Amino acid sequence: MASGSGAAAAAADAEEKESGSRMITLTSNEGKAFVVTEASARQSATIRSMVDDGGCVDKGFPLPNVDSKTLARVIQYSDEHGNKEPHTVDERAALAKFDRDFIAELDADKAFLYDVTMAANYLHIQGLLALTTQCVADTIKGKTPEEIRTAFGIEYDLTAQDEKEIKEEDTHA
Amino acid sequence: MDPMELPDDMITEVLRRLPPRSLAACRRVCRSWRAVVDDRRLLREDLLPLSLAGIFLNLHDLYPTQFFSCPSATGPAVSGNVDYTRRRSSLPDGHMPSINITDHCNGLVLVNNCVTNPATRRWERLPRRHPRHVARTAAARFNAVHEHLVFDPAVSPRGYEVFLIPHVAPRERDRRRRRRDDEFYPTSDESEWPPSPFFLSVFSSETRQWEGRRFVRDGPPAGTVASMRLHHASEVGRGVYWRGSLYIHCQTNFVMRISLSSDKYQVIGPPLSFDVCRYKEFHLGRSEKGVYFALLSSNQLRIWFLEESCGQIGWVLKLDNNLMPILPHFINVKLSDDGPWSLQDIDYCEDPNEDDDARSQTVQAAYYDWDFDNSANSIDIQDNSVQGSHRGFGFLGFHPFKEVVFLHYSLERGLAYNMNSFKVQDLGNLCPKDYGFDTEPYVESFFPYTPCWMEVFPEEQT
Repeated sequence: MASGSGAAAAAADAEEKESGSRMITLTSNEGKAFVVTEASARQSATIRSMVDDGGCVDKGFPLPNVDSKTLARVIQYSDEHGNKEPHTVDERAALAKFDRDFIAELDADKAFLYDVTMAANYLHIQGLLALTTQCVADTIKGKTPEEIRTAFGIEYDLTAQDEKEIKEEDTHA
Repeated sequence: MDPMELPDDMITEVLRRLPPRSLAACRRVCRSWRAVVDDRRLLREDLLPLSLAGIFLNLHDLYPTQFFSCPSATGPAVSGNVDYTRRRSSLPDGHMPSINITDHCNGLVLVNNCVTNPATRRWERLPRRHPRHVARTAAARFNAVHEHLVFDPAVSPRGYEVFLIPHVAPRERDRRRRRRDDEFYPTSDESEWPPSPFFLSVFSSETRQWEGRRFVRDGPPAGTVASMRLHHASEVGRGVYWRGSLYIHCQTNFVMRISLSSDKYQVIGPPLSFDVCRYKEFHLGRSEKGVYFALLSSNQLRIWFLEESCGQIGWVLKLDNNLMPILPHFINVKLSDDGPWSLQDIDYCEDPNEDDDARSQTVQAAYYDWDFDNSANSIDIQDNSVQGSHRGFGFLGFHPFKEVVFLHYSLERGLAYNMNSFKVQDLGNLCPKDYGFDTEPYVESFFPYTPCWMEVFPEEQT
């Protein structure tokens, strides 16, 4: 992956000749351009359908909902998954390890984790979305409602009536 | 970004990855989360094992496990026939393995080294068991090892575990084979029992492997190896799962409470000293409030509840009633009459590879709700029509969600007995046709069954 528009275009050209695959430019909402391989970009179902519809591959894809920091991280994931197709047991294990390390890093910065989750959803990158939502779910597991509110900074807004209803509906779960 | 800015779609994506118990907690977080859980129907309590469908019965000398089925209006009828687990058996014709259910936990049953969900009819075979450290013990040689399923779909919908619990085997007569304490289990008379650490073989569905797990005892032992030998291991071994712990009925009627999260265990002494009830059979079970022990002897029913709330753990006598006074209430019902419950007559002698229509006919669904609190059909048991050899009351298990026990009278009439009101209800005839003429008829074991409709097994076997 290269960044910066002028140099990127040249780099993309060179790489295209070398690998035989097209390069695609993604632009963050701050106007920063990211050049990625088509295989990497195709991890996103949103971009894949635009490319397949014969869309503006040359002009690149502006992503008004994604900032540069988030996009860079998303590309890190899609590069790993798009450019390498795991064939052997070892390769699959390496990819699983990449996912573990990737999510462990994100887990340490919750706000960024949500940004990446939103971007994965917007770009329809199923694997990444599964990874991040599972990570958020794991933080909820085993917690009491009070602990969940604290962890997520949620304000308590249930009325006495709500609590009564919930108690009545609650069975053994 | 503030987490609350996650749109409902994202919250849904997150919450649908949670097990039922966590979802129940999420409903209490705030109004918008509750709305997400409810509007998207994420919490499918209807799939959880929260209703009783009947009782699996192992009768002496009758190999297919029978199913005494409870009528239900709320869920689909379940067949108690699990013969599909042996269809792929490679055994030669004429040598069919018997289908005996050996344990049940929250909708999963153990049968012939398979774990199956009778509601969804999916199953899987356990890999070869008895890892080295169980296989070498005297307990294994004397079949004094019992298997226990642990499954809690509200916490972990896909994961289950199988525990192998060894008991003290009878003394070996053959002196040449006699050993000192072996590597894992004591066998000399004066050794403590249960040992600490206690090595248990555990199968986990997540790793798909048997592994040895080490449990350390918290508190004193139950006794010595020699004292355990007074009680035959075949008379104990019932296990109950309740809120993260596995309770095992052990020799001399102590209960081993294994805490699954901490890898510790604790000995809970018997409600009555073993000396005064040496030849009486205790029944461990789970009911409305937790773990219970029942003793039914000479028509006297005693039930204890395991009190665990106040730091102390111990048995509290809940009732001590003679059952004979209920008999005069039942004058007009013949023992062979149909009742609200029915026995699914399961006969495995037919070719298991026959088409599936045969088994659907065995489900005789009577669609009305059975109300254990209010249903007031009185029953009459004509004392003179009882088959001679097994007259009297027998125990059939605890209702898992209500303080009700199931009993039978003379093996023919199933009864529900309310522990608080002492009301009795007739359930129906539970004796299979032609059973008991050429064998001594009695109930060997019973498993009240609560169907679970979740997908426990990863994929359909083909």
